[in-house]
Amino acid sequence: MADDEAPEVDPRFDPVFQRGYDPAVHAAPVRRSVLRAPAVKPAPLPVAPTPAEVPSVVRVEHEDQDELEDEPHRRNPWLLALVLVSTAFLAAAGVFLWVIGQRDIYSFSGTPAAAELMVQQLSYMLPPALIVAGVLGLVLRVALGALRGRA
Amino acid sequence: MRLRITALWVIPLALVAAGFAAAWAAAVGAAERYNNMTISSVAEFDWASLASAIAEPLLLTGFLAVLVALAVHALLWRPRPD
Repeated sequence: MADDEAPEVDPRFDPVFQRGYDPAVHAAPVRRSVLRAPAVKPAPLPVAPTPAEVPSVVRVEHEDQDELEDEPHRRNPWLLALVLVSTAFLAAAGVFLWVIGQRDIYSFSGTPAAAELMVQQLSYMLPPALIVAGVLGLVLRVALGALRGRA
Repeated sequence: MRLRITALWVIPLALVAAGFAAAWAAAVGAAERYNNMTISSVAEFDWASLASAIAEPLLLTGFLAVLVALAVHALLWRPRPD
């Protein structure tokens, strides 16, 4: 009969907590592997090979390496020319203003020559332009230095 | 490129030369006026006054153009490798 046989237990659960549990019959451990995934031994993780010597500082090769190393020793001649020209403008303006100050305004020859008039006109005309150009040149030099990252 | 660099220097030099030429024309006109003791009428176009008026802007623009040319050269300059 079917009653003589031990009742089947659900293999998914522990037979101790199931109806019809008989320790004599169900003493054997229930195969729990049904519920569990087969134990797979994980493969060992790959280990990165350790280099013999790790440099503490990585040297970056630059194609303009020589240029960068020599750059502090080489001045931009055009920047120097810009400063010199601007300074010359300011100096010329100062000379013209000094000439105007030294001129005797009460002397009048009566028949001025064209060259004399031109010098007189330039002495009044040039200083403002020279001062503006000289100051702007120095400002331009500072701006170029800021653009190049070094003043 | 070379043509543009040439123009970069020709333009300021031309401006400065035109400024000095205008100043010279103004001086010649003024000397003629002094010597002849003539006063130009309002209706008569006075080239000397016009030259005197444009001489200073021409000179100032020429000076600034020289500075711009130098600045452009300074920006384009690269050290030559030995």
